Amino acid sequence: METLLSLENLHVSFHTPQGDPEAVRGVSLELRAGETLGLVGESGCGKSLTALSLLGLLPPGATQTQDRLRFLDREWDRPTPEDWRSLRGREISIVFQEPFTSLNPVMRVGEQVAEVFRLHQGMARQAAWAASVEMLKKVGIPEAASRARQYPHQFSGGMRQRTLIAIALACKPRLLIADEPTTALDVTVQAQILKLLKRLKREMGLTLMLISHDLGLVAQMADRLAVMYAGEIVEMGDLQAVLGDPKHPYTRGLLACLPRLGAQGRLASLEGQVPEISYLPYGCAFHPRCAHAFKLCRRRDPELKEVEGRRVACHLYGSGE
Amino acid sequence: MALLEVRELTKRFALSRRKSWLEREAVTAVNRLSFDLEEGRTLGVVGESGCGKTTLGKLLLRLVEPDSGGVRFLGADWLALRGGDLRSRRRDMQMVFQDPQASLNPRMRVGEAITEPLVIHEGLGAAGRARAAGALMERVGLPGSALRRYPHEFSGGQRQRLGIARAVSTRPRLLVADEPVSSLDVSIQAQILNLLKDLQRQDGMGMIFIAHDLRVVEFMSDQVAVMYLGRFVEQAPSRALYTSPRHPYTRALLSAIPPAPGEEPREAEGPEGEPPSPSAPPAGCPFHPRCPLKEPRCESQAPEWREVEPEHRVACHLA
Repeated sequence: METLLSLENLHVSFHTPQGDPEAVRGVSLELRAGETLGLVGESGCGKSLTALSLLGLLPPGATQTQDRLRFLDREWDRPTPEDWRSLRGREISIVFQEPFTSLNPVMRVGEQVAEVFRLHQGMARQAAWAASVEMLKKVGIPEAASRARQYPHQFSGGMRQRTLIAIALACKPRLLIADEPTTALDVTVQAQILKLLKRLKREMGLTLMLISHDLGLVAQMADRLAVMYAGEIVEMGDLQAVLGDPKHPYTRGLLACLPRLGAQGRLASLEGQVPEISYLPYGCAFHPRCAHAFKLCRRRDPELKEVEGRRVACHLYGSGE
Repeated sequence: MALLEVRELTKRFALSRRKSWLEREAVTAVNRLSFDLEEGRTLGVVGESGCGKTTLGKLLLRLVEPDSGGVRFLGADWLALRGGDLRSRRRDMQMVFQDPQASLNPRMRVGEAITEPLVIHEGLGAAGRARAAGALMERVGLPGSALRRYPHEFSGGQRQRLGIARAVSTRPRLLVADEPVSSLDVSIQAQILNLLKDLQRQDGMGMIFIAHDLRVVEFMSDQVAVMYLGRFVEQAPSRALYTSPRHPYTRALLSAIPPAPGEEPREAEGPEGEPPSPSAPPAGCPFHPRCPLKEPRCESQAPEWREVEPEHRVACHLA
């Protein structure tokens, strides 16, 4: 399969008076055209920052460096603002978690979609409006022509999320990043949005990067899975391999924490919590919570290595010493 | 005798919009709910946002006063209690809130925050308070050395432990937990659910566990009630509700849960559409506009709340 995007050795750091702690520490990933990559992890593990780094949209105070970013046949080590603009919207788009704050409350919904057509494709006002209504129809807004004239507060959470998807897909990007697209929604609406994403992916030949803390949700959508912990990818591979036979103790722990239907008694739980980025433990960042930690884990951060058809960063699978 | 008996409990909220100059529009947030809860058992309440589940919790605690209906708690008329009597009985019914950040006073040391109910209800002195605080911290799995810290020094999961410590400090007979884990990460969520179960077993508390996550509710509850537009549409022992749901809405909700890794793969389906506005609920069965099985009578006749099997109640013409 053709490689759509590859990112090598991404670091994201925050500038503070006490130093520059790193929130993303050497993430490399590759997206193949047409696949869905699931990126999972708990809050603060760096998954959203990784996504924003693919668009050059990090918040103020954060700095990113990478050895290389490749998109199809183009390649940068330090993309300029113009480089980012050539990617954003046209090639890569993103849908955020908050359908309640991402739309302009005083602008008609249709106008917010039409704006994209005018700015990116230079369409005239009327043509852009028609294209906007068409796009809203495509994402499943009923009576799109009249709904387009309404304001965001007249839309439910699910409809707002559909609108954001319409905005993101207006320029027919190759890659759509969905960052917790259903977290703020009810489970019933979540199912509808996931169905929509699947349909659009098929119809438009999209590549999808789905970021979520919910393993069940990702399992339903993804072809491949990357698990992040404390700014690093700790396990990455085909969905079946990773979920069917997880290797990293963190992946195992996450899976064991999920309440199963029909299960009784206590949940297996991972003790402790995700470390703060300014106080990362020495060695493997997971070792204080890991039941299998041994001496090496406290001394050296493990690298991603090929283990049984996926990549794992854990000393349990050979340290190379 | 049941710990809690709720009969025809109803709460309407007036909106500022008016139907006519005489009458304001109103939302019936909780509509003639009836149920019992036995000592030491857990009733889970699930439903989509806006279904009235949080209002139900607030009504039970009398943080909001109902318009009609009755509640008996510990054998006495709970709604008849007034003023000082109500305050002194509150020790028997406590609440855990969703947002532990917002429910702890940011300027109060946590040792004081979690023992405040004991000062109010038992007039505990300084020495007794310090002892109690240490014991409570241990019960919820926090280090006793953290007593003099402030809430902002704790993580989300730890703050929820503090909220729980305060709620169980008076050894209540009933704990109402409203979305206690929905803002927490999965690994922390598991810790908190285990903690709640442990405390419940130790103290024999009854619990009303309100949440939107069906997996979490099943894990916690003996009985589960499904709420839609202010009413219960189905209530059954947990296992029965999840394995043989009778109401089309329950089935739709269950089908919307993505299968967990290791469970049988299937497409998450879910019901069509979204819940109608509670200020203009549909006539007849409130679920009929989204129901795949609806018949003509569903549009005009509200279905009765009836027992279809022992302890299994449904409000559906077709069940």
